[in-house]
Amino acid sequence: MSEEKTYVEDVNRTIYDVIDDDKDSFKLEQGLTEDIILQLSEEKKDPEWMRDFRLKCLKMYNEMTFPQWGPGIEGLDMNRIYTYVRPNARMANSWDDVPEDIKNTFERLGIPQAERTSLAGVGAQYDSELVYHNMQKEVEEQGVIYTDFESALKGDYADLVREKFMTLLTPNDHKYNALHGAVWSGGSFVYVPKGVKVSVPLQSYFRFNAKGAGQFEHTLIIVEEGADLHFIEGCSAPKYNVANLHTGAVELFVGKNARLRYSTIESWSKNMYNLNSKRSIVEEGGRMEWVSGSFGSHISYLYPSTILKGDNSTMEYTGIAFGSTGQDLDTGMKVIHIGKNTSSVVNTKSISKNGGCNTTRTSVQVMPQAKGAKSVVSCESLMLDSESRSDTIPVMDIRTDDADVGHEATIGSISDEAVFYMMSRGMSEEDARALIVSGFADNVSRELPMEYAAEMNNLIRLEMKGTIG
Amino acid sequence: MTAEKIKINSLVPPTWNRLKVNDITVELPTGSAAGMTDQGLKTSEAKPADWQIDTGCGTELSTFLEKNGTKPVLVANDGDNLVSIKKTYTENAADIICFEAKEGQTVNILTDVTSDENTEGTAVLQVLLKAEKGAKINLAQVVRPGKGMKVVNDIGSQAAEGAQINIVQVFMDGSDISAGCRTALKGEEAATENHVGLVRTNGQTLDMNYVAKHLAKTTKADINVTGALSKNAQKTFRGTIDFVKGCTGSDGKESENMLLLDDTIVNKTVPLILCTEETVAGSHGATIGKPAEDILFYMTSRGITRERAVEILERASLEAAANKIENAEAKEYVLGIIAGKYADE
Repeated sequence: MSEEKTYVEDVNRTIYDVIDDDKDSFKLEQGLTEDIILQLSEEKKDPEWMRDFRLKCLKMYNEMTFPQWGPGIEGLDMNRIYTYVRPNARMANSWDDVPEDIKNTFERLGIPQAERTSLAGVGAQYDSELVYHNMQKEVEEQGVIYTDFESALKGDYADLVREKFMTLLTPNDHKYNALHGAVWSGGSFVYVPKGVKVSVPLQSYFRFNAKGAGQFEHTLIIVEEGADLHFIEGCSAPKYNVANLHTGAVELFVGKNARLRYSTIESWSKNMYNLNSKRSIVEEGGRMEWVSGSFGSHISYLYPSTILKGDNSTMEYTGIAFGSTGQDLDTGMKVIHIGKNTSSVVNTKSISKNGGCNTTRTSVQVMPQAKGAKSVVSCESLMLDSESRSDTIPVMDIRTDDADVGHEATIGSISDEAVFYMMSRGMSEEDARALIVSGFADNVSRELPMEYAAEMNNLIRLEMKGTIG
Repeated sequence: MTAEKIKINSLVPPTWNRLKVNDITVELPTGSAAGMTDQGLKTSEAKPADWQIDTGCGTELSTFLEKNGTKPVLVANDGDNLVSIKKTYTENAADIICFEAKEGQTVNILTDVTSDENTEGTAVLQVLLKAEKGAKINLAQVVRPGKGMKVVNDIGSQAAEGAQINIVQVFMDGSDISAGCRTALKGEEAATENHVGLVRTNGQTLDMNYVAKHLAKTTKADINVTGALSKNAQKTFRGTIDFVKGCTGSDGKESENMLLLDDTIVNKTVPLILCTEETVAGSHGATIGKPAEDILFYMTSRGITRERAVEILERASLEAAANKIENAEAKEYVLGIIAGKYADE
């Protein structure tokens, strides 16, 4: 008897694959040389310290080795990457002032609509520069700063930005942090003053358009004592037949008793090398929440990390990765417990289909002084066929007796018993399987605002057909 | 005497270098003589080509042993009787000993390695196991060297259709112990179980790499580690369940229970699950932490000192593994060693 395997439709990329004509944009030449870095610095009108910092990072990049673990990145040739592409648009704070084609792209992605209905502010980056930035007046009146990174570097908060910039993600961490330090452009700066609670999320959306280009935005968020913020990051790109590169950096400072939720829905095209770094440091009683959905890219290295520095600080990570044909997604998280009575809760899920590869890589470190630390890690992987691959690589490094660390990982396929149970109650097999897979991803969508959960559900639109013979 | 540094217990695939779990470097003396074949065993020379079995410590160790001139020795067995190898090392040693269970046969093996307190050196023991169709191999190992003896204890095994390989190991005493174990489940319904009990204290280390490779349909693997760490002890456990395409219906489990008895210890756990097959079930669970205060309170309220209570918990960690030994004679022997260790203290 023949058996037709469960079919899960690829991500519907129609809205992401639209390419705008970029004939009017300005590009630095391909490659990574000192001359290019100096031109970029000139173009960005960097302060002197930043120009020197870029050059130092370039030197470090050239001296560092490529990672000896993780998916192969042989297909990424920096000599063929445009590190800076400036769209033919100035940053606006009204969508009416954004060039029509760019505005239409963001309209298709639903960004202006989301801004109207459910966001307190939006930053929209197109290739290497922001083209739109705006924040609700009420939020601004609370003293919240949300601006493009270049303005922050030169404005009232310049000293603070300089003090914090690339101190959490240092250029000597690894080769791609050094690359970021050398060529960063765009991104956002957010400052939430002491005690201010921003009730509606802010969002930055990073859109790639240029063929063979890199995007290197820098996000720096400081949430002061007792403050509260939900920040959403979205990203997408059309597909090209050459490598594109995304090496963003996200640095998050969570103050005493503050809370920061950082949500990401990533839908890069399948020619994208997504070598991205994110790190947060949490002070006493603070809380960091990560919600991460990885759906696109050809190769991903993405492990949001958290340093629980303060006593009683906490972290929760909820993530899902969906790997299909031509994708090798190496995702996960890292947490370091330093303060007393800190806790971390980690839930990761991965779905592999049609030859896609998922690696869930995690590390939990509990330092000797982290008395009373608690950590629970759960990794679940779903294999939808035998052409795919799913690996789980967790590390726990515990250096105190006064810790309580639990880890569980499971891997498996759709349970025939569960399908049978639902079918015995009147569901079709297709519906039963669809429900099981949707349910598998449910813990992430539940953590997102409704509009973004809908986007995520669109991304993993799981259509089932077939029968078991 | 010369020595060579090699990397063993390599994690495949590797992970972040900064965690220092991708492998371990050991320095092994060259020219070490065989130390295990003077036990009155019935042995014959094993053809190296017949015993090219991947082991937990990895190919660098096998290459080193070959260069060292260490010949694999096939140990004869007569069925259900226990093959017992007890060795007190007095110098550097390197051995490869092989055991074969023919179709339907059950082979029980016990190895116990120790050394005098004054002996300094390094011993390498590689055990290779082949279980033919429907056969069963039960291997029990005690590794309890003296303070000056470093030990590399390596296992490679293969299980054919319906065969079963059960390995119980108890690690205690000594200084630095490295342990590898790799089982290839080559035949349908082949199965393996590992039960490890360990106690490391006073700066002792244990570095482990355990791999169960599911190569055929409906194979089963179950890797279990229980142990206790105190007083600057360090332990790294790498455990890999590897589901290879075609191993439909297979089931692999890993579990670890570690008691951490003070904050001078380093406990690293790296439980991998690798999968290229859809219809499998793999799982890992770990519980790592200090003893429950209510248990300690219960014991101390009945007149047991806290130190003695900790010893009881350490002993329980070792006995949890030893109680899994199937052969009664081997089990009694290993439990006796554990009892002796804690009776003296």
